[in-house]
Formats: sequence, structure tokens, C-alpha cells
Amino acid sequence: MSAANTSLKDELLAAIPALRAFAMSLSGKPDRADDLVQETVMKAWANLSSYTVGTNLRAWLFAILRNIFYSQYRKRKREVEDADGHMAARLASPPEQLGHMDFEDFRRALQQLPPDQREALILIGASGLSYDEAAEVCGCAVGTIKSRVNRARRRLAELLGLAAADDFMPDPQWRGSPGHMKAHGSRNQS
Amino acid sequence: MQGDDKPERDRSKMTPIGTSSAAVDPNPGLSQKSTLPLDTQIQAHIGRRLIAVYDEILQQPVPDRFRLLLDELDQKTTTPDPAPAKSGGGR
Repeated sequence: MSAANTSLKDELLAAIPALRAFAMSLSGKPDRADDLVQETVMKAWANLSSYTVGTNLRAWLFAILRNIFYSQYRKRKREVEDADGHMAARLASPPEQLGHMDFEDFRRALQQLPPDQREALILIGASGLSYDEAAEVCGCAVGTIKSRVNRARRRLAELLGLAAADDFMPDPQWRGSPGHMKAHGSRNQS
Repeated sequence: MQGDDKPERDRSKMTPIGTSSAAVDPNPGLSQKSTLPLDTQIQAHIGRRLIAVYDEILQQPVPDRFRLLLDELDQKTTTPDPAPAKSGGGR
């Protein structure tokens, strides 16, 4: 029993960084994100009987985490709506040039997406899950994930001032030299 | 979850989102312009930002609270239950 426990404990520990990253994307607040992860770990541990060893543990954990998030989100929806007004005022300023885009601006824009679009975008675009895996995590069809990702991409581009709602032909000034856009450095495998 | 436990995908080999074929419009009733493909450069940049936002957390050390939590959960599971007060009785 303890040997099996040690292995699962190690696997859960190894999954914490990814859970924190996903939780942060969902909630946008570090403290709340870590609380979400805490609840996820506790719920996962209590429900280990429903996990099949050898299957995708990370996807199973992600599904638990998002279920907890959504049950809390419905209660906290008012906070999200307050944030919208703040962001709308900010977007009245001229669009930023690529490469000078503030990291915080991007995070704020991400938080403006509806959560189902945001999670699809993060799962597909950042967490390394396949469309099939993301669809399982979110409990929907692969086509639904794809349409959410597409809508999220459009909306994000609009929010960042990179594309107006009516105009998907960006200003030529943004077709700057590729050097403006910093290449992302090497990433650790988690 | 069904399926094999795959090793973590090598994200450096992922195609950045936005560089695949034209987006499919799930709502054909909307304006014609919404079916135009988004600018590849912009979407590739967004793709890199997404990874950066995610990675910023991914590369942080695991906070102590989670190690402590897992230790606690592990100990609770392996600690035998105390003997029942009544002898021979059911639980």
C-alpha cells in the first residue's frame, strides 16, 4: 500500500506545476489558483479509485480542477463582470506594437475571455494537451474545442488592439521585422 | 480517462496556433469578414505569449504547502485506523 502511495504521491507532486499553471490561467489570481490546486489534490486523493493507473493523470487532474473552478465561478461571476468595465476603458488607448506588448496586458486580455474559450486556448496552446485530450478534460466534442480556440484567438487579437472587430487586415506597421517579436527561449520539460 | 499515458508532449515541436489552415467559422450567419484567416504573424505571437504566461508558473518551484499537503494525505492513508472501542462489535 505504501509503495503504491509513494508512486502516486510522486506523480501528483510532479503534476503540481502544470496544475498551478492551468489554475492560474482559469482564475487569474495567484492565491485563488493555489487554493484551487489544493482542493484539486485533496479531491483527487479522495477519488483515486476513479482513476485508472496508466491513463493520462494530468488530464484527469485538469478535469477535477476545472470542475472545482466552475462551481466556484458561478458564485463569483460578479467579480468577473466588474473587471470588464476596467478593461474596456483601457482599450480606448492606441494599440501596442508587437514586441512591446506588455506581459501584463496580455494576461489581462486573457482574463477577459469567457472561461470556456480561455481554458480551451490554454489547454491547446500552452499545456501540450491534444485536441482529443482537451475535449475529454472539458467534457465536450473536439469540434467544440476547436471553435472555442478560434473564437478565443480572434477575441484576444481584438482585445490586444491587434485587430479591430470589423477589420482582420492589420495595419502594415505591425508587419514589422520578425526581430520585434522575441523568440521564446527553451522551456523545461515538466 | 481512456487511452495510454503518453509522455509529456515536446511543446517546442508544437505548431504555434494560428499557423495552421484557415479558421472554420462555426457561426455562418455572422459577417463574411469573420471567416477570413487571422494574420499568421499576430497569431504566432499570441501563441508564444500563451506559452510564456503558462511557463512562468510551470517553472516556479512547488510551494511548500503542496508538499506538506501530500505528506499529510499520504500519512493519513497509511496510518492504521485506531482499534474500535467496543470489542467484537460492528463499526
